[in-house]
Amino acid sequence: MAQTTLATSSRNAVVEISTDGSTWTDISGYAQSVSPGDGTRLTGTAHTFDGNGPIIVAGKLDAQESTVAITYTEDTNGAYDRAKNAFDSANSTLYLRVAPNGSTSGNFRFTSTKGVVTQFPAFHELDASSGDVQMVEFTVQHGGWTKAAIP
Amino acid sequence: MLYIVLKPISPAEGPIIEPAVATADNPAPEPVLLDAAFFSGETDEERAANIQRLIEQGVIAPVDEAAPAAPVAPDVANPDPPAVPRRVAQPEPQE
Repeated sequence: MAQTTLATSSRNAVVEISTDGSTWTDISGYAQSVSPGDGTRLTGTAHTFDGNGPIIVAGKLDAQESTVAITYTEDTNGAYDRAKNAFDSANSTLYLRVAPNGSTSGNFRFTSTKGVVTQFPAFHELDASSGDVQMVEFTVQHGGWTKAAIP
Repeated sequence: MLYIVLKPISPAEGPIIEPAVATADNPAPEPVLLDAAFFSGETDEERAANIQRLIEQGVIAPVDEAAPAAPVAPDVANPDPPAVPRRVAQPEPQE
């Protein structure tokens, strides 16, 4: 198979969050990185007296944890404000949506199932000797991603 | 012009639009149709190009509006459909 010419970097990615899975907020101007999670399937094994190797069966898809790193800012309705509000809500519900190559028609967009924000540090580790941008990384546990085309 | 949804589509707002999938309980579901105005494009030419790209990717297919819509064939790429029929996601109530 010839070397592909279609490979891309993640520089054009679009990252969005939603508290209802319907109305989305583009946080690409705040987000630095997204880790999708492992995406594993539960399995079970059993050895029997006959045969050498185990019997392996497939279970359900496992829950996965996605992490999103955003800049810490103090503007109302910025990414930090919205994600923190989601975390502070009674059920900490948050959906994630990512378009790795941007939101152009024909590209793919991955949407998480309904997730729960399981970790949200209130602020970045403060260090007077650092000149780094203050970043906050939060974690969303969800049931997986659905790949869909952008119309 | 209407287009039948063959693969999931992610609109800018709202839940993912899933194609109709035949199941044991519903072997001939109504196909999911979208109007041309649904697709993005600031001009008619741009919209037509985007629609054509999605047709080439197998995401949608044009429907002959003069003919009755054909029942959705079983998904040959996934002969073992999920036990629960897939539905278009519904928005969660605001908390």
